[in-house]
Amino acid sequence: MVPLRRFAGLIAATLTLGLPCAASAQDDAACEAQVCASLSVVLKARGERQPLAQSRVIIIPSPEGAEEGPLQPPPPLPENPAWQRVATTDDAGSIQVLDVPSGRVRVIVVAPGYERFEAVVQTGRAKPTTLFVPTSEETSYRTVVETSGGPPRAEVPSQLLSREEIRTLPGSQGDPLRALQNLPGVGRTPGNLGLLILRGASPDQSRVYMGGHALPRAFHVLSVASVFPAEVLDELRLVPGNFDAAYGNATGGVVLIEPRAGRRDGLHGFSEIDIAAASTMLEGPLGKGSFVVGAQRGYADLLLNAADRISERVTGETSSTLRPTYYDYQGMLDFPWKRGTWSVRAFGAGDRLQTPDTDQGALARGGFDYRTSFHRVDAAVRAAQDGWRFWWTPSFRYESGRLFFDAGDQEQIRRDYVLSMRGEMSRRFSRRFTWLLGTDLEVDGFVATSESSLGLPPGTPPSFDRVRGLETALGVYTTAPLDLGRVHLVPGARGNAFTTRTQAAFSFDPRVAATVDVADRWRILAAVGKYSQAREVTETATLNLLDQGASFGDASVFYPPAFTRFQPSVGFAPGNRQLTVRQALHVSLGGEVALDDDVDLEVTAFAREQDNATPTLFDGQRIDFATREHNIGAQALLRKRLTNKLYGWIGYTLMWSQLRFVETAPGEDIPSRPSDFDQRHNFNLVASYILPKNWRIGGRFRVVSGFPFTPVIGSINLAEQRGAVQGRRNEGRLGTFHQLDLRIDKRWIRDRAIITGYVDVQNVYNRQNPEAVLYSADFRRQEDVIGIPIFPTLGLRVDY
Amino acid sequence: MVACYSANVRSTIVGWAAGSVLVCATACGPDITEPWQILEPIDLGMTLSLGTPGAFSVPLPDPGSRPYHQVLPLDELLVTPSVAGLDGLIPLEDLEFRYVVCSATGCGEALNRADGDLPVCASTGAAEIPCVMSADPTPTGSFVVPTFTEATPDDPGAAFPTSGVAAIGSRTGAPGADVCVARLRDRAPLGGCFVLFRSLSFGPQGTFLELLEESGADIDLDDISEAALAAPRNRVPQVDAVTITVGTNAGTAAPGSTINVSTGDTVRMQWVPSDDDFDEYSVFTEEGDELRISDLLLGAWWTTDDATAFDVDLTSGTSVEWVVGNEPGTKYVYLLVRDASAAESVAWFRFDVSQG
Repeated sequence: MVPLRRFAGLIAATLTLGLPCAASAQDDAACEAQVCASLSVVLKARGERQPLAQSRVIIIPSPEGAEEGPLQPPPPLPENPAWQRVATTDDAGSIQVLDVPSGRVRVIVVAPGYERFEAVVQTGRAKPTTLFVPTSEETSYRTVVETSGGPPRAEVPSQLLSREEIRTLPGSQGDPLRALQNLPGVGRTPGNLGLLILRGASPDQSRVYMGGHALPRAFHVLSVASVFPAEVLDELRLVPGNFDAAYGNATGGVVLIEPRAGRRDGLHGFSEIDIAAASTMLEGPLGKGSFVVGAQRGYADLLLNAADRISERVTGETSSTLRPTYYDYQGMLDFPWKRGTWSVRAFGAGDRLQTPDTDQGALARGGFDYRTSFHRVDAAVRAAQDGWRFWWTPSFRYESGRLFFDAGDQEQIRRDYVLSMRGEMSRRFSRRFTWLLGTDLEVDGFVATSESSLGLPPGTPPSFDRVRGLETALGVYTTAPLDLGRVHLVPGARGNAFTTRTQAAFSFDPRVAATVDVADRWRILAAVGKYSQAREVTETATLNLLDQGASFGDASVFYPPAFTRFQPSVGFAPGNRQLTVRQALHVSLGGEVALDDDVDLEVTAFAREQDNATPTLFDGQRIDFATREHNIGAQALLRKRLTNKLYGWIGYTLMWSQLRFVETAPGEDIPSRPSDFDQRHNFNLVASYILPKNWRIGGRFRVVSGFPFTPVIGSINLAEQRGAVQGRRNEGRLGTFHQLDLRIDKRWIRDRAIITGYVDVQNVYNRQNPEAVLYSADFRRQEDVIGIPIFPTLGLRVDY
Repeated sequence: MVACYSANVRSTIVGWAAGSVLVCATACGPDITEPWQILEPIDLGMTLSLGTPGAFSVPLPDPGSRPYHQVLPLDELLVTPSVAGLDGLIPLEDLEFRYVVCSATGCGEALNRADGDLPVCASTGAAEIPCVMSADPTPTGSFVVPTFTEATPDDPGAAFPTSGVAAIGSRTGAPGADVCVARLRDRAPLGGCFVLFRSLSFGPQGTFLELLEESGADIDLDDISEAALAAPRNRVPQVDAVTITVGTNAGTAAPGSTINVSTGDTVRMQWVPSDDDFDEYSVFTEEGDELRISDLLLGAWWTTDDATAFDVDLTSGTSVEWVVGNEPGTKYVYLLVRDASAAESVAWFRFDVSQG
């Protein structure tokens, strides 16, 4: 090997001689002595294939007898080469040198972030020779995507996750929303499935926005995966509380996803397969813009079907295993125009959950078939003119849900045609003052049908009901960021109007956030604001997959109430409940300190007080007792941001989440109880490190308080069986959860592709974590129902 | 609208869900003690029987060797719980219960307490209140079945004043019936407490339906089958004897008797019902053929032994095969017998187990 210092000296000498592109007298002599030819070379990153722009290329005579191709290892450099040429690649990674002595030459590439690379190349070829230069192991491989600046938003404590972090986080299988569960302020979910529990708020009180529009749902059926892959996002921002006035109809927190533009440096993509799903994506330039297309298909149904067929042959018993199927797809176009950019995005997701078919393909007796899907097309235009910045994004979404029960031929279908629109204009009037005005609107026209023969005499036509209607949510918001030196204020306000078929409700939400730069590396953040959300008035049909007390052999299993959030459902139409608006007050106060250039410490105290606006029926009858939710706590995050080799963080959340009774039942004197998502302690330690030879190892360790559950305090002898006598709701608590997950990635970098294999092992030391409670037939004895044991997942991915 | 599907559909779904991928993915069920094994005192059953007949029940035919189970309004109902201990049935004088008479809307649901309210029990009875609780703790309960109320088009169910009876209690002073009621009200753990509920069975059915029709209920007796109308008043099945076979030795044992066995023995036990338990009667078909109808009798078994196979499934019949466990000592076997009208009684047997 030639020491790099010596090689650098050669470059320096070359530059000193003033020979970046032109030949010296010695070189002229070389050309005169032999025939000269041109040399065209294109440099690309090995594996990723992006062009290496502004890279230095030195060309000298080839070693004696060397064959064409990479020199591995390269022989020592000659002290005084007979001739030499030096060139710099253009934006496409190409050079063309016209006066190179004909024959084989030695090409030496020096590019920052890449290994020194040498190859023997034949001159005079009609087509350029492509050289694939390996990435330096000192630099982590990652795709860099330019982001377009968004509108000004309140700088409340929030967290960003990069695509690489999402992809390599242990235990999250590359799923973006499940990756968020490792951050402070986000609760652990029952069964480690997908839900967003932000600072103790119920998942239905938080929203996920993609491209400025709320997603109808964030997870596929049974919450096994997010409805979009990490690869399509530019940015994933978690705001667990005190979010900006631009977002409404939520009283918990928000997750903001900004889709990214496709790459323009060639056709790229990936295909991935693991134990549960296969996915693929392709992106590249299209005219002056770019495109991205991708799709994902879960195939648990196929695996379960195969397993059932084998089981049926062996045991002779018919399977009753549910088979979940899901898919999602994405297609995005981004183009520049003279005043900004415009984009068109189409994406959607579909799910099906059904009991097994009979041999004849019909639904088995007593079975059900649940289907739901949404398909959305967004357009987005960003522009700037005369100091104003504009963002306008209309969207149309078609949504459908169907639930069919074989028993009684009960079928419920709802179709939604949703027009959504967001528009914003902002202007920086001075160095200190910016103003933004925006509006978001969602108009949902729905058609719901219901049909049933349940309880009807044979031959009677089924009962049928069909309802059409319109539901709307309109928000108008404004913020006025003020820059007062060390103090940055973002006052804002939002007005909301909600309508159903016959009702309307309104709310007004003032909000303010402030940051104070205490010192170079210190700042304080504070925010207070009001948040509103219309309560659901739509009647729904729900699959009770997790009924409390469901039989488990002779015993009965009782789940924490948090589990009920996984139950699939289909809406129908607004019932006879008054439309009310849940209202919450968020307060947070915290500090940030940069301990190093890439190490930050954040500590935030927070509180949320919410009036649940318990609705009444149209006739004034109460259907539930009035309650308030009260969450208080603090979260801390010590984070090493993604740099060369290491990223990771230590996160901790201390929280009390309670439901307080404004009214109680006669004889009840309990003022409050733990909410369904109360988790006192939540500790996360995450680290991922790049090892030599393209290995990466990561780990995640979590310690989380158990979920509250309603204990069975005794039983009642009911002759044919025993019935559970349940205690006060959420009076019991499952044991502490702790778990270590490990993930090892290995990359094999080829010229035109990168192959990544990984093994992700959940629950490495096989901790018996309780997820539910199993009671004996007489309810006198109980055992924990244990969650996922040690569980390895294998995956294979090819990037190109 | 379809806000919630019927219980039947829900239970079907739960059946599917038992094998669902979700359950498989999120949880693995641990082993838990078998249901037939008695490790601490447990309530096995409750016998409802006729006490002093009321105005509608006089005159009554001779009940034979079994008490009547079915009652009519104004009859006195006797309620006798059976609690199995580790050394035989606990004597009634060692038990105390508060008894709750439930209205037609029932306190069974309230007692079940799946997030519901406490039953509102007053010390005096009226048909419109959910339930009535006995004034003092007693070993057994007795009360007069309320008479019919006048049914109205708005409240056709008012003709059924009572739906069942519940018992809440414990061994005397351990912790005591009132403590158990308070625990139930406070939703505190019910350790040591026994809670039972049984629906009332009205009969003879023909007489009951006629009385119901006379009270204004919309009943067309022509639509009721002759078999139902002709059914005699149901009686409580009881265990007089069981046949016990150990190896090739067979014998008969009366409740409370002691049987000697060895560890590892296979013991087959079978209840031998008497004719009175079957409540047989005849009806005649339209063709004039006589049809004999008899009661369906079922049994369930428990033991204090560490048995490997036992049967508490009432649908399995009245016999059981018991492989005696490896631990010598005194073991007890309990048998609950029940008929199709949910009339039931409990018997027990003592087994001295020697080392085999």
